[in-house]
Amino acid sequence: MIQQSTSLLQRIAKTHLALTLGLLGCSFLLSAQAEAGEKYAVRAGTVHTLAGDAITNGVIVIEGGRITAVGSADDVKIPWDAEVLDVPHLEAYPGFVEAHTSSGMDRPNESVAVAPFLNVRDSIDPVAFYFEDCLRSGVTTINVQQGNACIIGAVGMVVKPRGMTVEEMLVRPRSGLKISAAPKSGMSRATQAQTLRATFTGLRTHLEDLVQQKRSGNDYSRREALYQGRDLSGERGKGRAMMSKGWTVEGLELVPRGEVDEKQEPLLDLVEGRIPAWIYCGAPMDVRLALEIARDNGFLGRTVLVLDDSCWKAADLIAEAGVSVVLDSTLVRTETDPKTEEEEEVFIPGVFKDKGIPFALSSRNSSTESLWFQAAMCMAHGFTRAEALAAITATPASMLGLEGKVGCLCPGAAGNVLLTSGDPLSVTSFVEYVVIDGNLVYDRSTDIRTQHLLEGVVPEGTESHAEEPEVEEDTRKKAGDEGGSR
Amino acid sequence: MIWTPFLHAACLTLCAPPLQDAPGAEPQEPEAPKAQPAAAPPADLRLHAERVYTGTGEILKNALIEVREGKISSLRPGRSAPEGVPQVKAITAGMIDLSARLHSNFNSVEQSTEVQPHLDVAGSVNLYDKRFARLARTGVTTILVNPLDRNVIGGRGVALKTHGPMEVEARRLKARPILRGAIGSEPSAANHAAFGRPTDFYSRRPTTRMGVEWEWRKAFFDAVAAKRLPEMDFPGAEDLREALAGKRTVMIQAWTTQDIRTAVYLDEEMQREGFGDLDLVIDAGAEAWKEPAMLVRNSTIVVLPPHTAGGRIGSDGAFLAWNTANQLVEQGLTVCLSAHGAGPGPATLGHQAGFAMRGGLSFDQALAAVTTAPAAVLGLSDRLGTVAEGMDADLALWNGRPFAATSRVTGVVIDGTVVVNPR
Amino acid sequence: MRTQRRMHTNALLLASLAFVASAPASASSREGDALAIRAEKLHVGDGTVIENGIVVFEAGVITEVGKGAPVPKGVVLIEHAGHLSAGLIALREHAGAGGESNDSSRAVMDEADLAFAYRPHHSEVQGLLEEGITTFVLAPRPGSLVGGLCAVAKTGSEVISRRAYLSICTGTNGLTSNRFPTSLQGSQAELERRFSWPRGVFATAVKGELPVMLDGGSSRTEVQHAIGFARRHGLKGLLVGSTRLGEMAAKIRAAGLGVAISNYAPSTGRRVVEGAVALSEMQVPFGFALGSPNNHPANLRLTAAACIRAGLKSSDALRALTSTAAQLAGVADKVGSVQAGLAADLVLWSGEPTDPGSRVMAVYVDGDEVFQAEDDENGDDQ
Repeated sequence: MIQQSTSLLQRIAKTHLALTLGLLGCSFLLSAQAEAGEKYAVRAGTVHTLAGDAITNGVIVIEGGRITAVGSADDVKIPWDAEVLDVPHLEAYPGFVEAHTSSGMDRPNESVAVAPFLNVRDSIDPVAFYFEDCLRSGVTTINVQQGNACIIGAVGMVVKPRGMTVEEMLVRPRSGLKISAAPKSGMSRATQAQTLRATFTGLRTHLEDLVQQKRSGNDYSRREALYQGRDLSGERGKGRAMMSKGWTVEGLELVPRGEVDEKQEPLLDLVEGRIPAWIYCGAPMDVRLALEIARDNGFLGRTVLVLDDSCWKAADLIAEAGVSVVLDSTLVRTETDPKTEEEEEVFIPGVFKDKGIPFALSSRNSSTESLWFQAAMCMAHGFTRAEALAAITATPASMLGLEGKVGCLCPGAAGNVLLTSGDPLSVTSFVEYVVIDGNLVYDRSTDIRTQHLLEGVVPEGTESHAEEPEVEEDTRKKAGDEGGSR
Repeated sequence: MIWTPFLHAACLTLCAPPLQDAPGAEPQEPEAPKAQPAAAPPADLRLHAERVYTGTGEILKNALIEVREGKISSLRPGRSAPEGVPQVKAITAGMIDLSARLHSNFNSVEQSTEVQPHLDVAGSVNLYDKRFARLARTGVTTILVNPLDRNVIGGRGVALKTHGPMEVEARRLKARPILRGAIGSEPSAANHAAFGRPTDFYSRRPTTRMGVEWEWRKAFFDAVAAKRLPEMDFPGAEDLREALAGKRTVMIQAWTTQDIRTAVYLDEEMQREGFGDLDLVIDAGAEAWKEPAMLVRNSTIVVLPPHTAGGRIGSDGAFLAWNTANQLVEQGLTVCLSAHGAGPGPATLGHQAGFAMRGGLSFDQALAAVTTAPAAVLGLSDRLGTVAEGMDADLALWNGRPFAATSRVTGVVIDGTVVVNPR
Repeated sequence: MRTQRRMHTNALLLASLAFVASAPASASSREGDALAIRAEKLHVGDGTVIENGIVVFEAGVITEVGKGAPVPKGVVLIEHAGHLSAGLIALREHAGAGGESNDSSRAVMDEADLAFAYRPHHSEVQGLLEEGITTFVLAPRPGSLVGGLCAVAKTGSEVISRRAYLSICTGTNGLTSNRFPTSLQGSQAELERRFSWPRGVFATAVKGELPVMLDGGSSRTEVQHAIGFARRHGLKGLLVGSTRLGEMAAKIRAAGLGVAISNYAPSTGRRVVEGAVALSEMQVPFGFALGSPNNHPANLRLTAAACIRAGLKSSDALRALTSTAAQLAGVADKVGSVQAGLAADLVLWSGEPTDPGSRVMAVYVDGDEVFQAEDDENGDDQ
């Protein structure tokens, strides 16, 4: 069924090498392409672009990591030199998008409560089991952010579950700053709120000090920057007036941007709207604080709330603020009426859908939490297929500023294609192949773990195979003869 | 998207007159009984489904179900839905969970001695426990409640509907009696060797798997001996003898292949000794797939624990392959599925059936594993497990294909009472 | 307010009185020690209130009650500008046993007799008197399946009934983790065995000659089990210990059982006090109990007041505190009402007895004044 011009293994190895060599230092939007000019094509029974009608007997052409053409096999010509994955028995879907996760990191939280100067890049583990498992559940774009136990956390990044280094995995650097409106353990809500506010006051004071220094002819900040070896060339050496929708500091154009303290810089990026904020709310009451901080500091327009399931009660507040949300908890919440003691079930995505709040589902990587299962649950609760799929493709893509780049199969988008044995929201379907940036990265027929899980059989030659007791056969035989183990 | 499943439960009981104010209400037809004196009285409840999966391999399309006095009084396919009659996509029989684990806590197992075959868990069942209603909401209409597995032989289980009278004896189903016990690490988990002065009865056997196994064998040997020597009689001996005579199903929790083997060997030993033949059901038999031959040889029924993403489950770290149900069914074994309770998480019994299908089980087999198979274990096949005239009106109402991840139970009827109103 | 002031009572004196009183053969009846009290409002105990009623008692026993009851010559008439009622009765209390009211090492203590644990001069007893409690049912603390025979004791005085109840814990209160039974089914099996082939006190109980005090436990299920147990074996008596009893009023009535209301606290109280109203509407006889170690004696009347706040009639609350409680404890022929022939256990109140603002001005047990408010003018410390 599968026609491939070169051996898969050879190809994957080649790609890895090319990536490692070619992508070091690359830090731009959709870094991805493996070997410029390499061509890959998928022909599937049905192609679900999620950007229009499904195409029967469809073809997807990927060149240089991006989709260049999608359409019916009758209309789209497969380049003669493209490698072809010909799977007419399978359905093609865009890879799913994980809007926010703290998986795949060495450890998700830093003990320093205010740490905007950190970057998850230094914590992401490319060989983490999580990334491997993402392929099985069809997730090809992942926004990794620090965990929720912080006040201001690290800067996150968007990655794909492919590559042996973080650079290879990179899709988009600096995908936002993590903030928590829920108290970090050991803190009260009041302390959390106070520290959060004080952090931004601190930024303002720092900037005002810099301006004051420049005005009084003091060059201390420049010397400090040079002493630390910071880049003061080009744009970094120039001052720029503060561009903010919240408060501003007059005269910041006097201060070369390279002289701003590195510890404060991500906060300034946030306030000036260059990076988004991912604010965790652990309870409805946290939503008010989250929105207040975002509003006061001018980044409400670039804020996504990461919500515990209890936060559905703050839906009106969220709708009014016009922000998007990531649902970080169970989808069905049981509330007990304190008076009647009767239980009520609340379907959380339903609340946000009804209020017109854009929401993304998020998985924690178990069979009942993974994105496809959660989208299926949305359908079970009355969502249309399009609405359910949007919550794991288009909506998170747009939260990440990657609309049209991931989460759909359309020209210009990354060549991330899932090939499923059926409806991806069906419990009986499996992800058979995953293509990322025009490279085949997952093939279920060679996935030892899925085989093990599905059939219990531990493939020969693998490590866990040795765990199986060899005496089993003997014991059974003996027991059969003597009829018991006394 | 908030709903109150029990809002209309009170007004949709099986009592006449039929429903007035609920969406599921059917307006009374005053002239009908008069016009045809021979006709049956108006149904207490009528439901219409695009498909009724009867559980006998049949799918009835556009079927109208009528319920009278808690039983299905008529089932007619090819009908259009009369006005006011609730319409749903699909109806199956209410699901049955043989390992619902709704025992309350440590108060639900008598730990003062290891072997308590005569104690009935009914005494510690709390029907006000919210988990009954939660299970009912997921379409589970009958459950078997067993003692907590901290004893070797914990006692008698009780089969209950998940909705009904608020007294256990009134709700108890006249099911085949169940004797519940466990093999593995759990029955010995609380025990320890006596260091210095023993302070409580936990400083005793068994503290090992072999100790647990010994307690089982000793219990049966003693029960048999007591029949000849009345002075050896002990509470529960009669229960054990009934089990040996096959009058009582013996349900043993055994997660790993090692423990499953012990259970089967115990049964086979009883047969060899001429004591009798246990009607054995292995509960939580995650590793039953490893040695299905011995289960086939002994025609053991297996209740499987819930599916997990990583395969491992239970305190003994047993490995449940996703295709276990299918493997066992292919070997000709009877398999029941269980969700082990009511959450947390969305993995309901319906989802378990779906996961079993992911592992290769057919829809009909999956349906059987949550309806007819457990009904047969309870000896209640004449009342439960299928949708047919004369059966208990225990129904799961689905908004799509049953067990699909994209559908769910939206309505539940138990003994003719609408417990969750489909909306 | 009162025209005559009698001697101050202190703990020492009380102790000595009690000591005498607990001696056999009605030590309190002293020749010629007759007294009459006229109160602005005299609560008989059956719901009737006599304006300016007079109660006359002699040798510890009430001889006359009425508006114009004749006061014999030479008998002092105390004028009380307030209310008078019979002494209050607590249906379950552990006071006076000094922590010796149960033995948790044994599950079944069927022959234990709480009368032998009663120490009338125990310091805990004084607190009861200050709250106008003159009679109480001394019950074993929970912890055993069968705790023993409850006694009815006069506060600081004698035991007037040795076999008021057989105390049984059908619920989780009878369980411990280190002796039989550890489980509800174990406890039920044991109780079924004892009552299905009854011997000793169990036989007496099954015959209906000995009421039971059933501590079902707190949950509805446990209460149901307790009711079912009582019905199955035809037992009569009291249900205690749950906040859920009101919800089971119909079943309790059907079983012919009474109820002791306790466990009131503002945090859990709504259920308790609304339960009292439900029981009253269902005409289930009920009284009030203390019966937990940290339950201050004042809570008896405060619970009643909270029930009134939830809708219980004030007269019903007072009946529950006095005459109904006496009936439930099987001592209505001795105490619980202001009636000729009954013990002169009387409380003088500053106002309505069930009003939590009212204070106890004086308490009489068997005609002896055993407590008197310190001082009317600055007596706020009472």
